[in-house]
Amino acid sequence: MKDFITFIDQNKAEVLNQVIEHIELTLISLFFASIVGIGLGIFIAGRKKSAQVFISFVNIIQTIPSLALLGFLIPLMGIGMVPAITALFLYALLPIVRNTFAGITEVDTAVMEAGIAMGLQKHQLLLKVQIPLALPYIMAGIRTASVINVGVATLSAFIAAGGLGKFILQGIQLNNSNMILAGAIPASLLALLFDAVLGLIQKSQLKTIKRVLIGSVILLIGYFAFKLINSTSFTTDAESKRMKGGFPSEFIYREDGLQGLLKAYDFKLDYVEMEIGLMYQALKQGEVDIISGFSTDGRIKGYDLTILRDDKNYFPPYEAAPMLRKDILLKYPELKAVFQKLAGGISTDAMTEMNFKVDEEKRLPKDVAKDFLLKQGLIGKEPSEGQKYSGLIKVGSKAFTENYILAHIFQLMIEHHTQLKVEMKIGFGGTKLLMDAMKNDEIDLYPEYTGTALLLMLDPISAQKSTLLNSPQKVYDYVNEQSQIQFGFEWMPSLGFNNTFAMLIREEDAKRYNLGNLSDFSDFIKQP
Amino acid sequence: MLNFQHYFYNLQVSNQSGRVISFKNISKSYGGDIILDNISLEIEEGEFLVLLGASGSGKTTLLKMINGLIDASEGEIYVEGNPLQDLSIIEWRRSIGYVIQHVGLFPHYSVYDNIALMPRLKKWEESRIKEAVKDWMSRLGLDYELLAHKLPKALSGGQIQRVGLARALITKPKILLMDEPFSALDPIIRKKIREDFRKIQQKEKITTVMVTHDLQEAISMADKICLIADKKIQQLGTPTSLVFKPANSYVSNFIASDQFQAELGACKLKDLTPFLKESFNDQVKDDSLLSRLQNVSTKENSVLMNAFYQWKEQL
Repeated sequence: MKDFITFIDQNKAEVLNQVIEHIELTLISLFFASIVGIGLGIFIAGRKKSAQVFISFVNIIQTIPSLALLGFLIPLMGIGMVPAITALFLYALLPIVRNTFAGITEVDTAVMEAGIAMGLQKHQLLLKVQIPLALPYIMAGIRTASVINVGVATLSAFIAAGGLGKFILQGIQLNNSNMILAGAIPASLLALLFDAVLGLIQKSQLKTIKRVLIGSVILLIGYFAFKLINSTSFTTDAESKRMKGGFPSEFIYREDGLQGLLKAYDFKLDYVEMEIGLMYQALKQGEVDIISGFSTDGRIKGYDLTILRDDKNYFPPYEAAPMLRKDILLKYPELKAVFQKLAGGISTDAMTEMNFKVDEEKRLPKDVAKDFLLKQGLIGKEPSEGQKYSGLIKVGSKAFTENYILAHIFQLMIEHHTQLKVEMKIGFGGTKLLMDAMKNDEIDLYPEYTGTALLLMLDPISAQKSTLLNSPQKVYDYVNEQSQIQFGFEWMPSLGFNNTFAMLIREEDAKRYNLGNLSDFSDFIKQP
Repeated sequence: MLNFQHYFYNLQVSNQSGRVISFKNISKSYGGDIILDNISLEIEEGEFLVLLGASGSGKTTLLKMINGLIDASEGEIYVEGNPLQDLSIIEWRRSIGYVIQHVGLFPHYSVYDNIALMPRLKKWEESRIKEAVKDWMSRLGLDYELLAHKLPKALSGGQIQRVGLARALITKPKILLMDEPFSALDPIIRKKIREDFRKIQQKEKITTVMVTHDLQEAISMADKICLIADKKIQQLGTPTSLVFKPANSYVSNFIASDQFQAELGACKLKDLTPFLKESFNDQVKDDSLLSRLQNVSTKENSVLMNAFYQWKEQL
């Protein structure tokens, strides 16, 4: 608790900034959703037969997972505020449309009949009777939508739209619970605040609701105008060939990540924070110009990207290998032999190929893993039927393609060559989470990379690091030794490929500006 | 509050004046089910016509054809000689008063704004509207100071229906349509509102068409009753002719359930004058025997009943 308060205190400006961004995202999307939602609600209220179709349609939008919706929007709108607001807009639509529809259709039939019989025209009925009487319902819809939006807006951080999700996202990746709370608590408070204020408005008299609505519309329009003027002057200033980066928060905040890279190659770069899965798409779409990927990533091939060579050997080697808890090795020594078979068995090309099959050809990691092992003759057809399991092994993985494939390779190898049954616990959000799971016996092994272990787990002194870096073997030996001493985890032989960090740019940029390695890029950026 | 003599002076219904509404061979069916079959009916200016029938007899359907809420399947409706479909329906509706059982006051409008609705649609000046609202509220027994700025939900059922009447009457409509307007009220309030309304209707000579299933109500209020059953008009005539000279078994069956009260209700005190020593004053001569009997001595009761039997005999 104390830590949390200190954290908030130290990051006051950033918290405030994120809160404002969050409110901005919520209110702007709510504003447009209200206009469109009320309009749609009124429109379908007059057409009861087609109403159900419309409502089902907005219902479907609601069921799209938020992250998937953001993903869909990137090819259309890129990253940043615009797609985030669009997504929030779509989520806010359903409650508003549904409530407007309900409010309007539930106006007392006697009232409607009296209105029609007195010679009110359609628009008069709508303005004088239906909308005023539906207003409490409509406000309730807007209120629901606002609470939904405050929640969903935390996901906007994935596509660099800011908001309190920034803290939450970083906090999860860096395993910093204070940071998570610094995002989550203000977000909850914000939701409660919106709910309370809108609830108050909803319960007040029609006249008050009208005044508040008109007032907020004027305020928002004023705000847009202000923003627009500001942003146009900004973009004309910044009209340059400057490159923009897009990096996941782990890369931005890690010691061996972006900051070190900028120092090592001595250049500055504008960048936005992005979710790993969305980064490649954003680079392809030209939303960003440089991202931090991995050298075996299948999308390098699929998206026509070029790796900028790390000519100063800034990034340590990242050799992949299974990391096991020592006690499980003592219990099932046969595992050692299994992983011995895999030693050096997967080349960088083979791994890239497998990643490509999953990412671009949309095949399942499990099938790709099986095909590979069959082709290599590492496994036979099916494991013999009716065998009795002698134990259970829990395999973990991180939440990205290559790690999934490797986890499945481990599973298949173990099940084909031992009597052990494998349980898959894949898709962990970060290295720290996996480490904790290993310590708590929740998993027994997972594919880890020497570089990650070196820098994130073992926190070595920089001097020591630099002597190790030139030799992958030295790094491997060092992390294996340290893992055993510090945690009781043992590394199996390296799988044979090096999936180090790779700075990626579009191939066309590489050709146009003649960029081959990171030094070229640094020089290019520094040009006046 | 009301000058009764003054109103009663205008009792005589003008029957030589023009026809406001004519139904010509009207039929209505919903998806093959015939509700009304070849109905022709004239509504004379200034008269109080009651459409009487059991529920489901199509009387409300007939009423709603007048203001175009329901269209006829066949036949034609004429308004002062012109086909209804040639009129601007919005304008036509604005010249009609409409009162229904559930009233349909705008719940978000004050009593004042509800009554002022039609005048505002007709673009009256606010000062004139205020005058008229005050006038009509007092004529319908509504306290302006107390009620004008309340919302409908703060009123009693009787008050709500009075506001509904004020709303319908304020622009002096050409015709007033009422659909079971008093059915939801309790008996004492119902009787009072009926009487108050009937006096206003007679004074203003407002052509009125009222739908009801209540025989007593029809008899006590109507100039003419149109009894609808089995998709057709079974009888059209004064309450007296309906009660004492039913045209067919449909009519006599409808009355049979409450024959005696119907007869007493259809008999006006003035009808009994030839059979009594003394005559009634103007104030009560148009009251029905039924209402008179509710507050007389036993002696007077037997005198009146004797006269009633003589009158009935002679019919």
